[in-house]
Amino acid sequence: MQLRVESSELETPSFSTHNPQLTTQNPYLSTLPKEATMAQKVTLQPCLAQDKLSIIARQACYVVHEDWRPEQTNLGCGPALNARVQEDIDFIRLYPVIAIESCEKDCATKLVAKMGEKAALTLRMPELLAEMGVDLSSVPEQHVDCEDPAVQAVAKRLLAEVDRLLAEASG
Amino acid sequence: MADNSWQGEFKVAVLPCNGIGRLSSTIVRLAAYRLAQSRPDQVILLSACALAVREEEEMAKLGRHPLLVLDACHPHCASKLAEELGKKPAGALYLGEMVAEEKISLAGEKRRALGKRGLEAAEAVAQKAAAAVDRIIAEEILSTM
Repeated sequence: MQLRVESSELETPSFSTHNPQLTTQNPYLSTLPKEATMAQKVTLQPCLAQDKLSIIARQACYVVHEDWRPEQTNLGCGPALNARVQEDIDFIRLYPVIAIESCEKDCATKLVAKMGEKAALTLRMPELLAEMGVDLSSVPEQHVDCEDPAVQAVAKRLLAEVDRLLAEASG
Repeated sequence: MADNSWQGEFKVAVLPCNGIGRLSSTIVRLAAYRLAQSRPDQVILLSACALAVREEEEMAKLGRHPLLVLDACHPHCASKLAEELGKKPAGALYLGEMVAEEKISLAGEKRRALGKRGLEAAEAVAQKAAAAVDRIIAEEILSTM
């Protein structure tokens, strides 16, 4: 799998589902170190609310990013993105974004849009969990271990989407 | 008809940054939960991302009550969000200062799950935040007299 793209390839989108605005006209590209524009990654952008579904999503993002795809994913921090922290702006400008929502309000997707980009994919936790038949009755509030079956199930689903987007980028 | 049932209640809206990238974000997030447990009738937790996109219900909560912001790391994202929304906080706490003040070492702690020291830090933040909530409510009560 080709995970790197040459900087010249950035003149045209290297993935089909991401915002086509990713061109050399992007003012941020010229200010980034070359390595940053060459690595192909996917940004995970959870909504980061305080309810149980948000916490499962947050923990699943840690599993994907820290355990399974540390070099191919970014953890997008919503508050930092809104505060225009450069790293988080780069995460959504340079890489396809998977927004993970805990409810139908789609705050993460809307935040990415507010910052001028479009999420490549929006995943909604209620639908995901229903689709996978995950039982939440034993999942605690406030903190869920990354080893919890519900977290692991969501992480596996996220991983599949990450790998799909990476494959599209390399294809 | 507008819902005015909240009027007369003395509550504080608390905005933790709730970020994901740093250990400090996890500490502040758990501290906010502890705060809400220790002051269940006085604290309303706000969601930063929902406010960032001006979600209607969250904006209403922000508008109704005095605000306490809990910033985890240097960009002070929660404070910046409040500023963006035109809401002057009645109180603001920054984890870095509190941890330094309490001399809590966070070496070895992980953002995905806090250990002993991280939980101690969360408790320290929660206690300071509870004191701030008490102060803000006292000021609110005084302002009505």
